Amino acid sequence: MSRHNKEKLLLIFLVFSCFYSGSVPGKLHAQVAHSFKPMPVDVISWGASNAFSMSHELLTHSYAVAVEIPGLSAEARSNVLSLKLLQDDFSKDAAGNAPYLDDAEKNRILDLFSGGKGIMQFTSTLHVFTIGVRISQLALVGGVEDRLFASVSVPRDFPELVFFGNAPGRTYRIDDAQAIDTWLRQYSLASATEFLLPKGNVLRVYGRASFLQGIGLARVMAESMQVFTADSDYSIQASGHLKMMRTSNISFPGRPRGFGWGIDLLGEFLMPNGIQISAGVVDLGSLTWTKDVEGRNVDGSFLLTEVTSSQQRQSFDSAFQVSTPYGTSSRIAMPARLLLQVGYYLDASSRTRWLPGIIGARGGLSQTLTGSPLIPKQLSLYALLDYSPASWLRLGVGPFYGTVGRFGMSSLIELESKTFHFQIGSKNVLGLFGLPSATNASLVTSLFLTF
Amino acid sequence: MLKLLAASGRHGVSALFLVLTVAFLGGCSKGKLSPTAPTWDVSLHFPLLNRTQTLQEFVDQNPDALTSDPDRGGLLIYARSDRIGNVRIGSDVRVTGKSSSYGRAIGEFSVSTSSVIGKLITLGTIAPQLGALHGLVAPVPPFSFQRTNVDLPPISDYQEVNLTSGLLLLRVINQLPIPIDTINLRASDTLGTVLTVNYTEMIPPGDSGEVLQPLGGRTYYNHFHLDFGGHSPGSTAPVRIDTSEGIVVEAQLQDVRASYAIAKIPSLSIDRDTMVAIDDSMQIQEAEISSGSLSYRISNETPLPFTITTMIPRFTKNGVPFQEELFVDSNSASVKDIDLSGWTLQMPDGKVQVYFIAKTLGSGDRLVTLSASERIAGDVGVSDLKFARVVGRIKPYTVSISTSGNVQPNKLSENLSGSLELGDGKLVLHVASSVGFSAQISGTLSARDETGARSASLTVPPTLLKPPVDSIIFTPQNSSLLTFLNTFGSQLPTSYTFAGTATINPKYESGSVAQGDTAEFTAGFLIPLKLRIVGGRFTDTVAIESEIDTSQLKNFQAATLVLDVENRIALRAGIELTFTDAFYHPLLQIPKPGQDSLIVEAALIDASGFSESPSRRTLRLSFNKDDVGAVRRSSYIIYAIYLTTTDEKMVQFRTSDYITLKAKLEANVHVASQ
Repeated sequence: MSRHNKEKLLLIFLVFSCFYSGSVPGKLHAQVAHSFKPMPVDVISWGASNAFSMSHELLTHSYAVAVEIPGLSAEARSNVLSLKLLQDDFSKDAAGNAPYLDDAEKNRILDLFSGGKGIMQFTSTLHVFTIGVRISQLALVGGVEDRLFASVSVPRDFPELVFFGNAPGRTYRIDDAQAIDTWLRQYSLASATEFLLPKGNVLRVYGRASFLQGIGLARVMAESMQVFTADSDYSIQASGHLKMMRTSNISFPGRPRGFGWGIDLLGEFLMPNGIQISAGVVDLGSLTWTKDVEGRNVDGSFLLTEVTSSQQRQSFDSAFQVSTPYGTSSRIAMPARLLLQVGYYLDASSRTRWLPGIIGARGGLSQTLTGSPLIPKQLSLYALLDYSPASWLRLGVGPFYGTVGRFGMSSLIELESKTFHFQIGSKNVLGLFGLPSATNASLVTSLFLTF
Repeated sequence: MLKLLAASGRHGVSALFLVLTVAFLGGCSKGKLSPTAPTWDVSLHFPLLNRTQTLQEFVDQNPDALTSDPDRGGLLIYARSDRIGNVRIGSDVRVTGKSSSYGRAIGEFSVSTSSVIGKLITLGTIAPQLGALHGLVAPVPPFSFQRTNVDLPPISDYQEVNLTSGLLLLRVINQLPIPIDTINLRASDTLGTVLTVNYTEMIPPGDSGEVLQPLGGRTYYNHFHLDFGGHSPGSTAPVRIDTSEGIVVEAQLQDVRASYAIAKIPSLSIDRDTMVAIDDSMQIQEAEISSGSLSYRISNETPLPFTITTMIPRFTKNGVPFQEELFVDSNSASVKDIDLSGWTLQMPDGKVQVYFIAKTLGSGDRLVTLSASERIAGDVGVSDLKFARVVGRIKPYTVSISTSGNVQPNKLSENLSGSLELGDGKLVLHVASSVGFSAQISGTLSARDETGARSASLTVPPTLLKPPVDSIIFTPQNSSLLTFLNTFGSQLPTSYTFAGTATINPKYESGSVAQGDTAEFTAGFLIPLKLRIVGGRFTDTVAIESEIDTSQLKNFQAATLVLDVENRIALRAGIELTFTDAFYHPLLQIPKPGQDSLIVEAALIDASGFSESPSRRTLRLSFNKDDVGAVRRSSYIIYAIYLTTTDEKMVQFRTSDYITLKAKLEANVHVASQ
């Protein structure tokens, strides 16, 4: 996408938003202390699911019904892979030659394996269908989403072994290496309500229960893999235990191979002084794969003491045995995360004459709670400066840091009218626009109509 | 990892994710992205070899050439066994044929005595006075017989017989109605009185009286004359008087044994056994005859036909003794020949027993003239007998022996040059004989190397060897063995000849021998490896195995080979390697000029020449890319191992001696996608 096209797209959003701005109910500035436009519930803070966003809109406005237009959200993160790395070390030069990695370059790559592992992960959500209704002070939202999790996790020892060879006296451990692809379908029912507390405080509570269907799974786990080279005689000792698992005959739209459940809980506390505190846990639950799941094990060990021994060379070929496929089941925990966010918002126009609207800042974190294989354990931190110059527009920008994905620049644009609610955001917009050093990129969208 | 992922599922979302990510990032970038795998150099460390070779393993791997003596601390012994050849020594066992005569006179014989002769003497003859009463019934007064002379009819069983024993039975039968008593008579033939009888007992009417009289001592003819008298008490009661009635006198010979007779001869049987002495020096418990024959002739000098059965119990076939039946007519002879091949002979005393039975049915009704001196006679002969197998005691015999054989030189001998001096050894001439007797061997053992340039011989003194396996041991003390061995140096003989004689059963003992019996001669070397090597050089060429894929070396930039050697063998060893192409043109020599020589010092040795403590050395050999290329192009490796004993002393080896070689390779390899 060229810069020219990106600018045109942004202009279209703005014009579209302005067109609907006249019909926005003028209630925002007439409300009490929490009449600030509720900022936190968005695609940045709560992730890819739009159920809570829709619930929030139903609670805070007088809409009776909300319907989401199908859309797609996706995020890619890595602590290793960047565009610059691909350009420098994995792309032909002008003469068409493969790049040569000297020791400095190899070390530079290895330095990227922060925490001892190289991780690449990809998640996406297809919002198939979401509909919400408001009944009195209760918002109910039902929806269907297809979610995809893919990740690869490789210990640092592996590329070090490949780049520098087997150093004598050194044990290379490639334990816990994993690659996983999961496709699941989530049927959910969310509800939300708000409570007006004394002293003008407001508490909003969100909850969602989900029924999960597993559609496809492919997983490889290196439970233990070690390579050791003895200093005395260079004898090489290798052992490994791998598990492989997959569901067979994947086809669209998918046939359930497993079932599970999911829970999302969230609380928002809004104080009249503009302070907002949010906390919650999302993606609690698990999915058990039971049908058409085929497993294989790879086990073996090998001690090479003489390369010249044809017997040893022959035994090496048969040292690692792949078992025959066997039917199995597997329970996989959902990638539960703890969410925390603290924000402060104020009416800018009441403080200054030159700055209309509402302005605020918030910071938050997302910490994985369980050792789910779907997403490697990680912590994400962000800060966002929100500014809503008009009721139909909100803009946000701020730094982002993830233990996987490293630094980025979050950004958010929200366009809103009486019936039109659109959000588009990214945790690292720089990655979207091809910053060579970027190691993550995401694009999250939400578009729903209210009536 | 991607490979594993791809193998685990078809959808391979991770791979897709990577592709998408690269494409996404690349598409958003101003820079052009042409994905490819990078190249780099990697330092790999391989264990090439880690092996401890003990001399015990060397012994185990060469059981045909090496052994050890556990009683001497595992002393290493070069052991080699070379077959010289075999000779046949059981083909001439035989005995010389012999013959013998035997016979038997008939002796006293029986004569048929079935005939009974008799004569009626009437009342009218012996009492003419009663003639008037003929036909009346009246009392008869006592009266004496009137003496009467009568001739008895001739006896048909014989015409003349010279009795050695026999009996004459006279029976007087009273057919008168009155008793008789006091009978007296005299029988005579032409030669005079045969017997006189006085019979006093009363013979009632219708009864008889008998007299049995022994005969013998003279010739009897078959005509007898009687002089008959007697008395009758008469009868007071009236009796019917018939003068034609009378007294019957009967005569019969019984149990006659004669020395001469013209008579009817009844059936008779005679038997005889005899021993034929063949060879009293051969005491054969059992022998299987391979060739030979038995012949016998039987003559019948009598007027009677005979059926003669001949039995020789010591000749058997399939366990059945020899027995032949032969009919020989009167006054004639018969001859029989028997092939003895395959027969078994038992002759523990050197003799063969021959046994015959002659039977005749007699002359029947024909009178024949027969004398006791007439004979049944025979001759039995055994030709020269050759034996396929003999168990027993045979006479010593001597055969000439000459046998030779070639043996393959072993690789060590072929490829080792230099001066090698042996300090000890033993040569064992093994003789394996299938003859069941001891044998005395003497002669000369000659040997030469492959070219014939070196030859030596050992005298084999007369030595008694016992079956089945015995040996003659040559040591440096009892022979010129060391001279013999060191004549050949490192090249042991490749050809042997043994020529001499073998005397079988020299002590005239019991044993066994068969026609196909042989003696096999084997020369066994047992050389404790006490030796001195000066300038020893062992060379060989090996082809680089096709299974070693040298193309894998093409990415090698440089390599360092590290050799750790620990030597506890009392030999100083150096090695040179030459890599050549298919035409043996040198491509690379190791060590290269200027590099350290690949020499491993010998272990320290004690006064006896045994190793005491090992020597150690670490060698590092560096190869650049050109060297690696030379190795890749090589077809052969010519290697030379230089061997020298420490200080040129005699050294010895134990099975616990060893050499440990650790070889490890540090290789700088260029990694590039194909």
